[in-house]
Amino acid sequence: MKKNQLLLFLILLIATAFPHTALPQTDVYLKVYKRTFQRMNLALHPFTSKNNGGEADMIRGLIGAVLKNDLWMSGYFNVELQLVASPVNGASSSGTDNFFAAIHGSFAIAENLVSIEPQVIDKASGSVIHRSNYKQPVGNERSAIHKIADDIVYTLTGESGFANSKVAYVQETKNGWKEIAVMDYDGSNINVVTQDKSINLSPVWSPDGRKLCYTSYKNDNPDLYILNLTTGQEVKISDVNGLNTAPAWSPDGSRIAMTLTKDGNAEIYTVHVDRKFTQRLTYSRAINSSPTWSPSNREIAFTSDRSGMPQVYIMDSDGLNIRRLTFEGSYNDSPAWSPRGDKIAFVSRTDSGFDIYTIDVNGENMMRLTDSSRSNEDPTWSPNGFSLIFSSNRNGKKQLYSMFWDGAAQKKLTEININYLPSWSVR
Amino acid sequence: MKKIFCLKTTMILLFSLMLVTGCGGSKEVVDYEPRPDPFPQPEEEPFDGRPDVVEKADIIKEDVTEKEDYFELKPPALRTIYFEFDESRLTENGRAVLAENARWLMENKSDIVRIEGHCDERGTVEYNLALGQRRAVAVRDYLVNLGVSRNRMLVLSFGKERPVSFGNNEKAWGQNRRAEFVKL
Repeated sequence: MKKNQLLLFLILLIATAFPHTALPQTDVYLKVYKRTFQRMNLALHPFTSKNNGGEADMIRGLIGAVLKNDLWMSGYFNVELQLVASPVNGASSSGTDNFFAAIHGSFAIAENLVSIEPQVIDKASGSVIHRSNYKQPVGNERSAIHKIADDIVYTLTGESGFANSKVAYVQETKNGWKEIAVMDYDGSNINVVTQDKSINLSPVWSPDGRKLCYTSYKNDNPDLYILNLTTGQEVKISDVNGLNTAPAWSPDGSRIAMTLTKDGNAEIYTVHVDRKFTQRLTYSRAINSSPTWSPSNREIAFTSDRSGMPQVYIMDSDGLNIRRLTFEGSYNDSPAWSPRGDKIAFVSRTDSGFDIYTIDVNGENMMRLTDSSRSNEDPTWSPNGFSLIFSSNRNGKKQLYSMFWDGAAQKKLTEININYLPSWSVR
Repeated sequence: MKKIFCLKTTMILLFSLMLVTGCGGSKEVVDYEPRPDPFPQPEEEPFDGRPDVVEKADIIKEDVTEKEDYFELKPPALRTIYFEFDESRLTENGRAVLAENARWLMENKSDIVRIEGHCDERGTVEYNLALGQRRAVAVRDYLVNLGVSRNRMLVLSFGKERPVSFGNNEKAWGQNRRAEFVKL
């Protein structure tokens, strides 16, 4: 008996010593496993400040707008903006009581720094369940607000938010050059990261979010490059004769799957990022392209026209065990594996154009997400697999749009130039 | 009594620990029953003769100054050939044009050319890159068969990234599904 007790005590000790691996650090209010659930109602009160004037009003407005959009886009919350900034500790601050929690806060501007202090208050108990403080230079408040949104998502759901995630894409300028650009997931904060005056295509993120891999024609052949966004350093990763296109970074970061034509036909290969050796995965006389990894790192979905038309297939990541995933429609391409592992988004040719669909990895539940008479292409998943960003020319030029996983809430993100081939960062 | 309570709490804690760590893995289903292909024939669209290359004038009218040089590089005697939708097979017309191009290449033996494969705007970027490559390779291989030295011809695919005609109609698509010759 005593022995057993000691053992249990030891296990408990270990469990408390590593709280992160054992038990959630904070109370989790909603644990989400399914894709369908009721959104939680949150009350968002205007942040207070000792500062007055136009700048303070602008920052207050920005906090309200960005936080509301971030929390709504997370998929978990309905946010209602409140008119009054209630006392920070007030549990019954608003008249209605159907709110799950209330968000209050204050900010201060001093010496070109904005300091924002949000608080999340549980409506039932009136207690503060989250409090933090973020400082950013004036003009850079958005990243602090995105962090606050992610904190709130984590506090209330236990899931990581993605308000700080980025989207890389191809921007075609007026003179026809196609450069790689990066923006916040909500379409703000656009940075063009290449100045090659060439054709650059298909950017994808490294799993750590620090690098981009993409195809560039700047040396008269579509070669693959890796650009380190922190250092600005660029290295060639594959430059064999012919196509070096359609990169897909493996979730473990070690390999990049891609399309090469060096052996005569478009086939899928992987290249080891550090050791540079390549391995061939597909052997067929048809086109094989557009690989996308399963989050488990064990499988790759890709497009092949081996049946006479492009269809989506899945294989093990060593190239074995190839099986066809899509059977409906005469042109299915551009697969994107959800980070949740359950669904694959792809593009299908319809009577009216091209539309985005999802299908479960077992080939069931094919679902149409877009329905417009033009082209809806290039689906890419949010880090939590709840939303997608894609390109569409439904309003003329190709622009980027976002929507939820079921096709709801389609929203235009970009306006200037032509923008396509989005890739949502992994975190 | 207290001990039992302690034990119970411990068990509950341990069990919840197992739950927390056990639910992380992603669900994957691997068994598939191959089904018969419901659409065995690829869709094909009528191809009405070869489109003319007059579109070049339209291009230069666009504000693209850099692209002018690009077209000047092209030798006038080598003609562009055209393809059907999602096809890299040479048409009757394409073969005839290539026979003329082959004669030109045999007469101008010092010239090295690049065959550039292009596609219409339909379909995805990456698939069309592969399709454009296939078209350029089909043209090169045909010329090799006609006696042109293989190492005088490079191939390059631009997919659908460099259209010559910007409409969303059958005519524009037909003009964009092409293989061009660029003298290097």
